[in-house]
Amino acid sequence: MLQVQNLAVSYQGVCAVNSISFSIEPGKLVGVIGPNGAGKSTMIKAMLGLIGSSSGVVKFYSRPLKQQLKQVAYVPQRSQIDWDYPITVWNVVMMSRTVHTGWFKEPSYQSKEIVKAALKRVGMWELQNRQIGELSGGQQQRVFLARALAQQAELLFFDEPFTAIDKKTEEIVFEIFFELKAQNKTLLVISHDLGENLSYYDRFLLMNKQMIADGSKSEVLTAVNLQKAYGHLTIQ
Amino acid sequence: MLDFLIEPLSFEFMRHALAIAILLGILCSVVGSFLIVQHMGMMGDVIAHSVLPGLSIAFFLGIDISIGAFIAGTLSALVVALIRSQSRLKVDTAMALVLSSFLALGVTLIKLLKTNKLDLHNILFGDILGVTPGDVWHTLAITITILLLVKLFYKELLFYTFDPLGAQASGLPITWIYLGLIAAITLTVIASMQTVGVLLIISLLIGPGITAYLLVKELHLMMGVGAVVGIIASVSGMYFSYYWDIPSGPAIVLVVFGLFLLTLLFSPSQGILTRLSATSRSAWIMQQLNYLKKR
Ligand SMILES: Nc1ncnc2c1ncn2[C@@H]1O[C@H](COP(=O)(O)OP(=O)(O)OP(=O)(O)O)[C@@H](O)[C@H]1O
Ligand SMILES: [Mg+2]
Repeated sequence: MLQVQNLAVSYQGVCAVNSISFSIEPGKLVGVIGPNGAGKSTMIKAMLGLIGSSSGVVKFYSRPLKQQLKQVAYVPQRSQIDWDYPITVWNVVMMSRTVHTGWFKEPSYQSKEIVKAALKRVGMWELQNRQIGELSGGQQQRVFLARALAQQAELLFFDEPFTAIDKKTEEIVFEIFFELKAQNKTLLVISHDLGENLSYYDRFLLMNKQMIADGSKSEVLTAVNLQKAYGHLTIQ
Repeated sequence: MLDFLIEPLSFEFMRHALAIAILLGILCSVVGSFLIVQHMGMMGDVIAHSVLPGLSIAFFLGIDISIGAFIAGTLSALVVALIRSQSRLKVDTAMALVLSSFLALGVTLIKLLKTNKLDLHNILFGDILGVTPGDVWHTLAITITILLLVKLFYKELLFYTFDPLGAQASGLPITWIYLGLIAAITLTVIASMQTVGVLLIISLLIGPGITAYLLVKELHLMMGVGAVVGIIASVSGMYFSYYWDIPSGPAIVLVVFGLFLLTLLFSPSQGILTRLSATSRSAWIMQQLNYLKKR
């Protein structure tokens, strides 16, 4: 059970996220939508304590989330990664085991098996020795998906996992989301895609600085709400 | 030829200088690689310039100048971080300001506190004549300590430098990791000060690493290959310094640049000349010329 109460963030005095509250049951796939600059990435970063928040409480099973970061997997927006970094696919996914492994220790045999399984699951096993800059956009996203899987987290945050990927990768991603859901994990996915995939989500948070609507597809994606969030756009 | 290499070794100061050169080649490549992948190259330069006021004050007070240098170097990094977090200024502007101000303060203090025995020219450009056995032990201690720490914390450092937000989100203490890196950079600057000079340390910090970057695709390999490049550069720089009577700093830096240029041209995977076939090579040169003309 993830609970967010009154979360607010401002950058140098300018408000980016304004008193947002919601809670999510485990085993749900929740889509976070809203226009560019709506504060979606900011909200997730603040929930994880990656940036400071001016107010708000974030709890996971009644304890502050910040004290249970081991339970969290976070896949940042593509633009935040330096794709020229000298690192291979294998080592990116191996990063997910850093905290489990602990200080001063080498990753265990079991960790290596977990990484191997994750790479196989997303179909990147053959490319494990590639430098990440030598991959296509979709392959890069799959590597980060594998990293999130190998983290074996209970709570997963994805910031725009569907940018730069084709239909096939998108299907793999949703398949994996469903598997994670079936394992009773909580998934929060930022997405811009208001297309046919909407029916895959259990619930939507529509925001623009503040929460505009929260609920099922039919409750949230109404003309009135979209007008409020985007100004004009309606759903295709 | 052999005489050419052996003759300088009959001098004790040259043996010390060469020992330091080898250590620095390794140390700078390892620490510098972290700077490169974090896009923090200029931060190394800021710290290098900023040790000067610390040197002067420590000399004046009669304490170990390394301690003064360490405090001033880390302080400069903290001032940059402070300006950045408390204003809308971008980090490069903050660094330019801090670098020049600390250097100016250092030069001023050296004059005002009459710490003239601290030879400004040598501090700025390096001087192998001044290398003492104590300096060699000093550098050896710093090198071993930092290599050991990098080995112990490698997986955390890799995670942090590749994806700082991801590292923070998984609960790594990134502020401490960052401070550790800053301390390592400052210690490396202190170790290199005597032979390379504060103005030019940045070259030995990033030059070997970026040369290696053109050749390999993993961070630890970048450090290893970079160490080889660094050793070649610093050792041959010492010889040039000896035979041509030029300051060791510029000599090392020019060799670093020469090796980088060679690699840029001939790297098997990314070299400008190797990745083009003969015909397209001339076309490429024409294209570059046209490009230059248009500008
Ligand atoms: N580091 C920062 N400093 C200052 N302002 C920022 C910073 N990051 C984001 N902002 C501002 O905060 C607001 C919310 O940004 P955020 O990145 O959270 O939006 P988003 O909903 O994720 O947008 P997108 O769909 O484009 O990714 C924007 O107006 C942005 O300009
Ligand atoms: Mg965003």
